[in-house]
Amino acid sequence: MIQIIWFILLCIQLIIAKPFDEKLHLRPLPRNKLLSSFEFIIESLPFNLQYYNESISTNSQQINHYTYFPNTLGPIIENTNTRQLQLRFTQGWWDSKSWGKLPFNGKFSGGTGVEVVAIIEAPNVEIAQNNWSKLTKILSGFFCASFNFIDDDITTYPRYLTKENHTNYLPEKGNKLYLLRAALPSEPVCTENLTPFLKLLPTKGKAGISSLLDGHKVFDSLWHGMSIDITTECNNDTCQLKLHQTINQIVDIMRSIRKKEEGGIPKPTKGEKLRCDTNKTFNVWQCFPLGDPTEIEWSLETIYGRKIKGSPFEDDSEISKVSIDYEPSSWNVQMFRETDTSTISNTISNEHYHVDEYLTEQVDYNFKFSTDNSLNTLPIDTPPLYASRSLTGYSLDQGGLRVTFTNPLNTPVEFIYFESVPWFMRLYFHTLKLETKNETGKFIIENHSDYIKDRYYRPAVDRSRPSHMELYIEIPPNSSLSMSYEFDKSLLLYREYPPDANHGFDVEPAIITILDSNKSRCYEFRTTSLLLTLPTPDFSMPYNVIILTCTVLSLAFGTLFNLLTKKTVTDEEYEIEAQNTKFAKLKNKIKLIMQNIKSRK
Amino acid sequence: MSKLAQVFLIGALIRFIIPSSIPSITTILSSTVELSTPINSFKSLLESFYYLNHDINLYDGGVNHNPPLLVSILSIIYNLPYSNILFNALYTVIDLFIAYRLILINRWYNNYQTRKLGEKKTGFNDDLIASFYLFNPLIVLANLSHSTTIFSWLFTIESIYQIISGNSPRGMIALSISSYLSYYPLYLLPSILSLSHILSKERNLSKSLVFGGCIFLMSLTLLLMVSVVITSSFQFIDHCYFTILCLKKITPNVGLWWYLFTEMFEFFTPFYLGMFNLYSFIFIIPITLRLFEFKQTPKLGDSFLAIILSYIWISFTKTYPTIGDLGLALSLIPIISSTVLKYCKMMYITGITLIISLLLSPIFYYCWIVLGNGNSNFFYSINLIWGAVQVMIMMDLVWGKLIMDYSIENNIKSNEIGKLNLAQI
Repeated sequence: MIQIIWFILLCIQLIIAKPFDEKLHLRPLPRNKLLSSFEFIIESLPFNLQYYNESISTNSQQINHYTYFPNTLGPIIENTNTRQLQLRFTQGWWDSKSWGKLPFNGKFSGGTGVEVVAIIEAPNVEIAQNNWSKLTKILSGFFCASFNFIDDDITTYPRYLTKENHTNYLPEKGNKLYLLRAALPSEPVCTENLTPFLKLLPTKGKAGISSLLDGHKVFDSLWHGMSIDITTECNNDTCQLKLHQTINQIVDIMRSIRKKEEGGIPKPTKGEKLRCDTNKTFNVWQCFPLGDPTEIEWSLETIYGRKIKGSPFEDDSEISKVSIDYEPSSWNVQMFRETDTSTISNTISNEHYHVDEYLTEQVDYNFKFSTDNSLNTLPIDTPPLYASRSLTGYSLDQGGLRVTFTNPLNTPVEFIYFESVPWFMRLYFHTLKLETKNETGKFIIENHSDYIKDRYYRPAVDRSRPSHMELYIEIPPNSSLSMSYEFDKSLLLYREYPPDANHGFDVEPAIITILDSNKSRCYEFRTTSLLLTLPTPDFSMPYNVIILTCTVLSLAFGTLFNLLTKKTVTDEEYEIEAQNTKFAKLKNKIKLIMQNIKSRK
Repeated sequence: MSKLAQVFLIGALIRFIIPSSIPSITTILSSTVELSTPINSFKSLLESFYYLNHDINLYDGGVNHNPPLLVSILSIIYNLPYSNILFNALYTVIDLFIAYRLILINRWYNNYQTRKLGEKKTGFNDDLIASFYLFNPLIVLANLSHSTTIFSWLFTIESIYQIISGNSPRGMIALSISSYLSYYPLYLLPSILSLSHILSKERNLSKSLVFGGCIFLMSLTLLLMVSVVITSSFQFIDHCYFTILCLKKITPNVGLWWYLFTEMFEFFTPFYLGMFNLYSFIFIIPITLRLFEFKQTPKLGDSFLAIILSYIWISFTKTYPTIGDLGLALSLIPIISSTVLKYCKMMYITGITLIISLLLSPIFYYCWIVLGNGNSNFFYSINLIWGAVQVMIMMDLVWGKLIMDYSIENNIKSNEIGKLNLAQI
C-alpha cells in the first residue's frame, strides 16, 4: 500500500518538476554598470544509479534517462563515478566595494581562471585519483580548456568544505566520497568555452534567454563568470542528475552604448560631443571632462546586439523568466514584443523594486531601460567581508604573502580561508604574523588562537603535491586583520620553466567561505590570483656549465691523483730519470737516425 | 686574565650579544645562500618545530631535512620561554666547546709529532688556536646563522678528540652521531679509523678496523632505529639522506652541484648523480692509505692530516656545502703548523683568491637575484673559484707533506729544505 502511494507521489513529482528552467536576472548598478545573470536548470529523469566498475562490463543497456539533460555529459559523469561536479570559468576582478555581493552569494563564482571541483565515489583514494584524472582529461576536450594539465601537483582535497553535505547521495557499501579540487589560474576564458556551455542547453542558444549569449558580448565585460554544476540528488532508490548553469557578468553600459553607436574601434570624441565641466576653465582649447551622463537609455539589444528569441519551447510556458531589480523612482522599464509585422510595447508596472516577466510567446522580446538619473540605483548589499591578497618582498629567492581581511559589519564574522600554493613556494608557517586594526589602533597579535580558531596545513611535496592550508578565522566587528607569512622561491630545473618569454607563474586565488551562526556557508568569494617570478638560470649555458664544472672536477682529480701516486725526487734525479724513459730513448733513437741521414748527405 | 680566557670571552660575546641584541641577523643569515642551505638552515629548523607543535608529520613533504632526534631534542629548547636567547646561548656554548677541543687536539698533535719524529715540534699556542676558530669570520657567520651543521661539526671534532685521548669506541659513537646528523661525516670513517688504529696498542690492523667499524655501524643503526621508532616511519631517511645524496632541493649554494643539475638534460641526470656521488667518495680511501703511518716507515705519513684532507675533499664535493665547511677546515689547518704547513708555498695566492671569492659571491648573487642586472652565471663563476680554492689548499697540503716526507727519508737538514727542488715521477 505504502509503495503504491510512494509510486503515485513519485509520478506526481515527475509531472510537477520542470526538467528545464531558465532565468535572466538584470540589475542596474551604480556608475552605469549592469549585473546580468543567466541561470539554467536542467534535470534528468530519475534512474537507478549504480557504481560503475570498469572490470565488470554491464551489458544491460540502461534506458536513456537524460531527456533535456545533455546526453553527452551524462556518460562522462557516470563512467567516472562523479557524484558532483563544479566547473568555474571566471575572468576579471569583482569590485565588491562598488558592486556589493557576488550574484548567488558567490556560490557560482570562481576565481580568475578555471576551477574544477568534483566529488568522486571510489573504494580508495588511488581509484578516486584515477577517475579524477580521467574526468579532467575528458572535460578538457569537452570544454576546450586546459584541464588536461591538472595533475597531482595542483590537486587538493579540501577538508572543511566536505563537512557540509553537498549531495544527499549515499555511496555504495565499501565506497567513500572523495572531494578533489584543482584550479588553473592562468587559463584564459573565452568564446571556445562558451560554445560547449551553450551546447549543454536544450535550446542550444537558439531560443529563450540563451539566445542573447554571444561570445563577443559576454566576454566584453568588466567581470564575467561561467559556472556548470552537476549534482546527484537521490530519493530512496532513484537518483537524478541536476545540471545548473550560470553566466554572470558586469556590463559597462556606456561602453556598450558607445560600441553600438561608433562600432568596435574607439575614435576620438568630436568637439561638439565633448562633455565639459563649465564650472571650471572652459573655452575652445580647454575642457575639463565631466563624468558619464546620468540620463541614459539602453535596451538588451544595446548590450547583447540581439533580442530574446521567444520562449524556449512552444508547448511549455512559464519556464523562461526575466526578472529585474531596479529603483522605480528614477528608472522606467519597457518590454517589447516584436514580430515581423508588429511591435507591442508595454511599460512594466512602476511600483515594485522587483519584477518578473515570463516569456511565453514565440516573439522577439526586448527590454528597454531608461532613466533620468542612472546614479539612483538600488542600494548594494555590503558583503560580510572584504579581502585582498598580495605578494611582498622584492627578491627572486624569497618573498612573503599578505592577506588583509576587513569586516565592515557590526557583528563578528567567521570564515574558512582556503589556500593552496604551488610546491615551488616553500612556505614557512612559523613566520605567520597577525596584525589587527580597528578604531583604537593597530596591534600585533601574539596569541594567534584568538583569531585563528582552527587550522589545517598540509605541506607541499616537491613536484607532486601543492601545499594546502585551511584556516578557520574569526574577525571581531568593524576591524581588519592582516596575515602575513614568508616563503622561499625554489629554483626549478632547466626543463621546468615555460619555454618562451613568460610573465611568471600564477598562484591560484584563495577561497573565503563565510559561515553563518549555524556554521553553514552563507557567502563565498575568492581573492585575486598572484603572479610569481622565480629565479631563472641562464638557459643558454647547459653545455658550458657541464664542461666547466667537469673541468674543475677533473683538474682536482688529476692533481691529487698525481700527488698521491707519484714518487718524489729532486730535479736532478728527475732529469736523469727523464732521459731513461722509453719515450726519451725513442726520441734519442730518432735523433740519431736523423743525424745519420743528414751526415750521409 | 689570561690571553686564552680573553679569546674565549670575546668569542662568546660575539656569538651571544650580537644575535641577542639584533635578532634579525639570524633571520637574514639563515636565508643567505653562502651560509645556509635548505638542508641545514635555521629557518627550516624553526619550521619543523612549528610542524611538531601542530601535529604535522615532519617528513610528509615540507621543508624539514633534519633528522628526527635533532628536531625533537632542540624542540625542547624551542618550547621554553626566551627560546631565541637560549638558542644563542646553545650555539655559543657549542662553538666554545669546539674551540676547547681544538686546543686539546693541537696539544696532542705537537706532543705526538715530537715523539714520532724525535725532534721538538712546537705549534701555535692555545690562545692562537682558539682565535683561529673563534675569530674565523666564516665560523662566526656560520654560527650567527644558526646553521644546524654546527652540531655535526661538534661531533666530528669530539670524535677526533676521543680518538686521540685513546677512547676509540667513544670516538666511533661520536662520528656515528655526526654522520647521522648530516651524512657526509660518514666519509671521514676511513681516516678516523686509521688514526685510531695507529694510536691504539692493537697491532692487528684488521682487528681494530672491524672493532671500530662495528661500533660505528651499531651506534648508527641504533640512532636510525630510534628515529624510526619515534617517527614510526622510514620517511625521514628519504628526507634527510636521499635529499642530500640526490640533490632533491636545488637551490643556489657555494658548491659545484646545483648549477650542473639545474642545467642538466633530464635524460643524463641519473648518470651524473651517480658519477658525482662516486666522485665525492673517490679520494677518501687513497688519501687515507697514502698518509697512513705504516710500520715499515713509522716516521712518514700523518693520519691527522688525512682527516683534514678528507674533510676538505668532502667540503669540496658535497651537495650542499656552506662557507662554514671550509671555515672549519681552515681552523683545523693551524694545528699542523709545526709540520706540514711550513712547507706550503701557495698560502698567499690561496688566501687572496679565497678573500676575493668571498667578497664577490654575495655581490654577484645580489646582482642576479635582486637587481637583475647579472645572471646566474656570475654567481656560478664564483662557485668555480670557490672550488678551485679548495683544490689549491689540498694540493698545497699534500705537496707540503711530500716535501716533509722526502726530507725525513733522505735526512735533509731543515735549513737545507728550502733549497730543495723536488719533482715527481
